[in-house]
Parts: sequence; C-alpha cells; structure tokens
Amino acid sequence: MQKKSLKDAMFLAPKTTALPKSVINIEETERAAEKIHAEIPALRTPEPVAEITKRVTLDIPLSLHAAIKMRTFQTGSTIKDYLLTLAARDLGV
Amino acid sequence: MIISVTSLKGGVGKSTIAQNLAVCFAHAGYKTCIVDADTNQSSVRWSGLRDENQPGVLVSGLPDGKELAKNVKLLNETYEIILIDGTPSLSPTASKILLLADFVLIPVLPSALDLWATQQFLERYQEACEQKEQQIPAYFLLNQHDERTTLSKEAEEALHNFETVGLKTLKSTIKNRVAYKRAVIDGAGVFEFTDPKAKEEMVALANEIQGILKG
Repeated sequence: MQKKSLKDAMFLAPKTTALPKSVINIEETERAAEKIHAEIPALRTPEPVAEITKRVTLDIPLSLHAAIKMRTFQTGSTIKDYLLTLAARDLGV
Repeated sequence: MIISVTSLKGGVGKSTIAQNLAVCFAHAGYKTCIVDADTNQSSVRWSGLRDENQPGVLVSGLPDGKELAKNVKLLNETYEIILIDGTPSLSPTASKILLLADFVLIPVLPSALDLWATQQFLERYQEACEQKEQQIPAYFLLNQHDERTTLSKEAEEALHNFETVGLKTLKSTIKNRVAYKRAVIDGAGVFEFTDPKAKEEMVALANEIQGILKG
C-alpha cells in the first residue's frame, strides 16, 4: 500500500475545477438492471404470494356508507380497497 | 459526478462514510447531495439534525429505489457531487446504484464475513460493467482498520487480489473512532468535529477521491 503524504491529510483540497457531469440514460439503466435480474435466477424478484384472506361482514350506517361511496366514486376506487387502505395506513402494515 | 457508496453487507459504514464525505465535499465548495437508498433512511434522519449554519447537504430519501435513475438525473442537473447511500441487498435497486455510478466506493470491514460478501459483490459488479459496456471505477475502503492487527493486514492483502479484476483499494483507511458516532448525533461530519485524527483521515479520503475524480 502506498504511503500517504502529510499534505494529503493536512488540508481539504478546495474545489478548483468543475468535475465532469455524469451522463445518465434512464432507459438504459432501467433496462440493464432488469436484464441483470432477469438472467440470474437467484436475483429474480419472487412472485408475490397471495395471502390467505378472512371475510368480514360490516354493518355501516347509511350516511357513512353514502359518504364512502361518494369518495370512492371520486377516486375511482372501491369500498373494499378504501377501507383496507385506511386500515393498513393506520396500522403501518 | 455520482459516487455510489455500496456493499452487499449491512453495517459496514456506508451511511457514515457517505455523510462524512458529503460534508467534506460541501466544505470544499461542491454543491453536494446524498440520495439515501437504504431502507433504514439514516442519512435522511442525519440531515434533520444538521446545523443550518454549516454548508448544506440535501438528502433525498428513496428507500424503495423506485425511479432512482430519473431522480438522480434530475439532481445531477443541480448538484456537482451526488453520493448514493446504497442498500445492502441483491435487489434491482442495488444494480441500478452500480449502473449509475461514476465512482463506486465499497467500504469493507476487516472480517471474513465482509470478504465473503465482497466475493458476491464482485459478481454483481462484473454484471453491471458488462451491461454498461464499460469498466465502472470501483475502490475498496478499509473501514475500522487497525494496521496493528493481523486481521486488518490480511484483509488488506485479500483486497489487493481483486485488483486483477479492476477493483482497487484506496490508500486512505478509516479507523474505528467514537467521533464518527458522535458526529452523527449532531448531524455533522467529523470534518466539523473536535477529533483531529478523525478529521485528518476523512480529509485524506476526500482528497484522494477528488484526485481520482479529476483524473
């Protein structure tokens, strides 16, 4: 290993010249990462396994049901997805 | 200029080194930011503790690595140095971190576990170079190094064997010092801290990297 000279550690070298800018090709980077992970079985992202579900029947007051229905209509969601999202967010899961 | 601080193993000091280098580069006059791609987001937390009177280091948190390339490209328009604080995993994000880098910094502790992980890292690195169709400059950094111990000497020797495949070892090393742990609590780097030895070794590291980047 090369010895460090004293001046290497004495003062922080100030910026004197601009560093060359990086050239980033988003598509190429995404494609290359995808290729690496598609070709090597150990690196492939495992297919998500559907979790076993439990059916719950809810009695919702009519006014609340109407309000939820309005909201899901506006967001293009469903009552089921809306309630599940709220619960997951609240529980942090 | 994009510096990826990465390793396939956790607990090697990626975030600490990224934060400390960012502080040094900011003091040297570069517009510097960190992209925190680690799931624990420790660099994001560190930035929240940072003194506003010190040179600013923006930290952008991308814990799931989604749209990493796009966001790094945007930051590249404003910042001169982008340090990517990597994730210790075999995920596509880890590959992107390598593919985006102009300079890869791989912290390694003097332990057998780290050297085994390095072997695995080499495979990922070579795949990234192959896909990018160019050699990505990559350097090992011995962290928690103690030249008096046999383990450190052996680790140094083992890392030198990787030179044949394009992975070099920096001559600067980092020792195990309390100053690094203390500085984090203040959102600082050891360059802004009271331990002159820690400051000295970090300055040497920042200068060495600057020298390589400038060619």
